[in-house]
Amino acid sequence: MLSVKNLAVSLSGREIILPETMSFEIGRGEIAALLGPNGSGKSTLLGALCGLVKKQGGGILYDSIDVESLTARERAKIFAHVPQSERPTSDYTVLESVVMGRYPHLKSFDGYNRDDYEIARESLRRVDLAGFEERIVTKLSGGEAARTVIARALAQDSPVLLLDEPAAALDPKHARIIMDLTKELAGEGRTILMAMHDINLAISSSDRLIFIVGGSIADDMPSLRVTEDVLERVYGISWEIWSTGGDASKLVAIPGAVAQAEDHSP
Amino acid sequence: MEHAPVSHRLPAAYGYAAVLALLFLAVLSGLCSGDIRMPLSDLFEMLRLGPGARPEDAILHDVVWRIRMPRLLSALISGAVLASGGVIFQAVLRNPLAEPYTLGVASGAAFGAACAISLGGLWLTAASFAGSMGTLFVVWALGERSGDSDRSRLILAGVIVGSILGAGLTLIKALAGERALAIVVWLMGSFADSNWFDCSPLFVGLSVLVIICSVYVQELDIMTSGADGRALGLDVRRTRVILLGGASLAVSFVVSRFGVIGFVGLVVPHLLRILFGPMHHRILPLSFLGGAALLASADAAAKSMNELPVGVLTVLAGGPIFCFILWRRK
Repeated sequence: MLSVKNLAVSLSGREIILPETMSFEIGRGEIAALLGPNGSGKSTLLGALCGLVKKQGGGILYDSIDVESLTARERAKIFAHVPQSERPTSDYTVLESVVMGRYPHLKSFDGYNRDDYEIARESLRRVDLAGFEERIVTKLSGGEAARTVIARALAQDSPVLLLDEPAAALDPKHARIIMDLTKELAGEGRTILMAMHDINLAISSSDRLIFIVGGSIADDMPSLRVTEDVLERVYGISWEIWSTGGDASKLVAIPGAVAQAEDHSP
Repeated sequence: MEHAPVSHRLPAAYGYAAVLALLFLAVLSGLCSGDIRMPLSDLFEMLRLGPGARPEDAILHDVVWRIRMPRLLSALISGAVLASGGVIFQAVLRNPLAEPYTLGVASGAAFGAACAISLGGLWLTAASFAGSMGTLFVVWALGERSGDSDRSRLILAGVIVGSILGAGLTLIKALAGERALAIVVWLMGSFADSNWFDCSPLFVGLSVLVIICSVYVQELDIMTSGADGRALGLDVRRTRVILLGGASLAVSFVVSRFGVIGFVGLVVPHLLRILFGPMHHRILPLSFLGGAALLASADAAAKSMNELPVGVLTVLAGGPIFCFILWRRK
């Protein structure tokens, strides 16, 4: 169980996640999508969970362990993070890049062993990159590079997976593959938290939607209970939600016109 | 659909074969070449006798064990330190233009040496080492002030402090009168008057580098990959302090005694990455051996060319080779 209590984060003196407003719990096997406008604090929240961003207040507990008390390696054994974008800066092969996900599990003075490489290969198969092992990461397409980073996070073998817009660079087929993969991983008992902008992908792929606006949780609900009102309140545009297939198991949300004048005041 | 190209790297065994062959030649030519011609048979005899022997031909024995051997070892260790230091600097600062002198150890050493020479030449190595360490301290204080991983700030601090010291050095040269020539010669780097006493700090520097390179191989990979190491469990700040601090210390042992020898620390790491890929378990051992072989060969050549400054020779000979390899690679 991942438990976040009154998390507060400031960057350069600006409050990104407001104190006393950010508390939630996510169980094992649960997939939660973080939704909200640009700059609402979704990526900062993911960064604070895995230690990329320092928190100023509140607590993060995983199975009652305060993650702040852990070393960087121990924390990386709990949280695997896939950033919004990552530009490879050296000519590693895809396999070399993915096996680096095994770093938190290495003992001092040890290198990656045969098992680590096997786990890296299996991770590549799961993101549909089998056969890409010897390719150079700097020469991959945007989607291939994004899947390589997801494979590296899988190789990390952490119980909580934090994905920052995992489908943004992917074509519809590979977006589906990755979303199906998150369901598989949740089925294995992992906790998935992903920041997203695609409402439909979020509804169809997650159990729960957590809406963040201005650094606070605006709403937290099961995915299939989302309403037009909630979306309108969060994004400031009108929405239509359609139920397809005669039941409520498939919803399609269509954005409409801007509902109200945007507030540009600081 | 067009796929990303597959990696075409040379097997590391080719690299080891090449550098070991070069190393062997460098050792032989380093010990045989010089003012006194030494046939191989005499050389092997002196080597067999060992450093403590008192043979009939004491001159040849002294030439091998008191003059050429410390000079050869100084060049070998300096080359290994500069090349592996270059690998570390380029990896940690994630900058292809980084070299072991990026944080100002060379400009500090040069300034310290110039001060000592202009004041009569006493305590030259100590002044140079103090200049080197002092500069490193100032650059570090400036560059790390912002706390987290701001690599460009550290590089900028190195450049600025280096520029200030460069201007100071020019001023000292202008005011040094006839001693200005000694400063210029020191700056070009040379192993000409090495002795056994010089080798001990070099061994310390080499040991520091060998230890940190053995411990931090995977960390260097992560730091060069473009990934945020913290998300993979890497304590980036601590690792950076240890790697850059250790490499700078080792390099300052070299520059404070032998002057500023360029090229090795900048180009050897690039060359190895181009040929053998970026994985550090492959390129770090090759950089130790390759740097040692290159600098010892260059020194042997410099010796046979009427003691040309070795720093000039490394660039003149190695630069075009690097350009050729760069041109051949698409």
